[in-house]
Amino acid sequence: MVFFVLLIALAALTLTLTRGIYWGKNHLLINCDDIEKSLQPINLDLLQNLLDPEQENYIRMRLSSSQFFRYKLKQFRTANEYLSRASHNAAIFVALGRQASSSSDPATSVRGKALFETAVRLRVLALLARINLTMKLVFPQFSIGDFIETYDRTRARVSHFPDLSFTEERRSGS
Amino acid sequence: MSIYSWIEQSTVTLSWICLTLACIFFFRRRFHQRVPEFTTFIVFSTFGNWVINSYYFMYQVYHFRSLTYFYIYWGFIVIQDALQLLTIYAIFLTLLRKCSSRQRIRGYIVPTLVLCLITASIANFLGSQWSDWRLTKRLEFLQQNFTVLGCTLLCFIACASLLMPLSWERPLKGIFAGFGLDYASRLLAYTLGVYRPGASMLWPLGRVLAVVAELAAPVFWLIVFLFPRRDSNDMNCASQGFEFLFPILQGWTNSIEAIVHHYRSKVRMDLRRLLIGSTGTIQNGDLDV
Repeated sequence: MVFFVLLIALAALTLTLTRGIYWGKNHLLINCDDIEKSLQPINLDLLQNLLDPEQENYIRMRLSSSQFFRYKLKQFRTANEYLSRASHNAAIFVALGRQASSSSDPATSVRGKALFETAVRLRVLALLARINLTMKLVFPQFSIGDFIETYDRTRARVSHFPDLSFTEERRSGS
Repeated sequence: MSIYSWIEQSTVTLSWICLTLACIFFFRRRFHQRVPEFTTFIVFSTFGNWVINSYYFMYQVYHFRSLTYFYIYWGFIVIQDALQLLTIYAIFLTLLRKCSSRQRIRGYIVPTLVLCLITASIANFLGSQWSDWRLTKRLEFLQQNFTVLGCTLLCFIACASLLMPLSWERPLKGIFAGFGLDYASRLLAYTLGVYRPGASMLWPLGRVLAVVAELAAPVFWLIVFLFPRRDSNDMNCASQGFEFLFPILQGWTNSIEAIVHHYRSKVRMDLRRLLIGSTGTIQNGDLDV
């Protein structure tokens, strides 16, 4: 019976993921307006502040158990929302890096590849951070690792990305 | 002729026709130039189906009555299943072609799959009566294991592509979705027909379900190859090309500021409601991307 349930679950998962691949929205296929609208704001200082263990200890001492439990749930929801936004933005960075890596200008291509690799790593980190965040609900010693620093580095790389030769090349290519 | 054999024969014929048409339209629309990984599989499947079905309908034999048919049938099935797995793996490598850590990812995938295969095989063989089974039953058992392995591989690739995220272009994702539909429906049919408690009571129906499940992929591929322009995402990609990078690269900072301005009041209000009221320690700050 267990084997039966497991196999049915595997078949259902395959169908769901296949549906997600075929009908799901592809982050890499969006136009410029969509990218600007799709980027979601994140305040990294606030996120870091929110997950600061010292602050959490401070709050724990001043709230009752039920209040602290409610605070933990709110903390989880807010941090999860931010991580979700970071993951979403990372997908945009992946698209940008992929497009730039196909440039014929070697410097732009190298930077594009670097951005692509970092952004992919960021996506994985975002997933791990969300898992750690969920674990943090039960085990307070869990943290989201170096996610915030990596996101900040990637964002800095993207914000310094404008490259005139790249845009000119695209323009003449069109 | 019972109702079950009538349904089975009709389904087999329909599947044969759909697969042949899918193969014809695959070449006619020149998809073989864009997805060469799929060519070997669809050519072999179509050719094998013609051989098996011609033999079957000419002599009206089922495999346990004819030794020749038996070897042709099972030889074809085993090679087709192996080709199917290799094609899916090749599609995944195609998706990773622009990723410089491709070798590293391959280094993870192959051991993981081997580990999954060994674990599933051990678990299966421990729970089976391998020594008591006839050859046909053993071969069917192996085919079911191939299906489970295929589902696992598909799930792994789909998760990886959603996570990274990889770019699925037309008709690659249609072909991949066809494989997914094929494996999922076959696994469902096997599970209901074999592993469901009291499955032996449903045996003729189980066999019909298995045959119907094999119809799913050819029909899906035929639709994908016949109506490739229905995918709006791909049409957007084709029409815009790389143009969308200009304004982003030129005015990245300005764009971010515009988004910040748009979202700041909304998010600040949400955060106030969520946090400041309960903790009193977190101060609102400027938002950035």
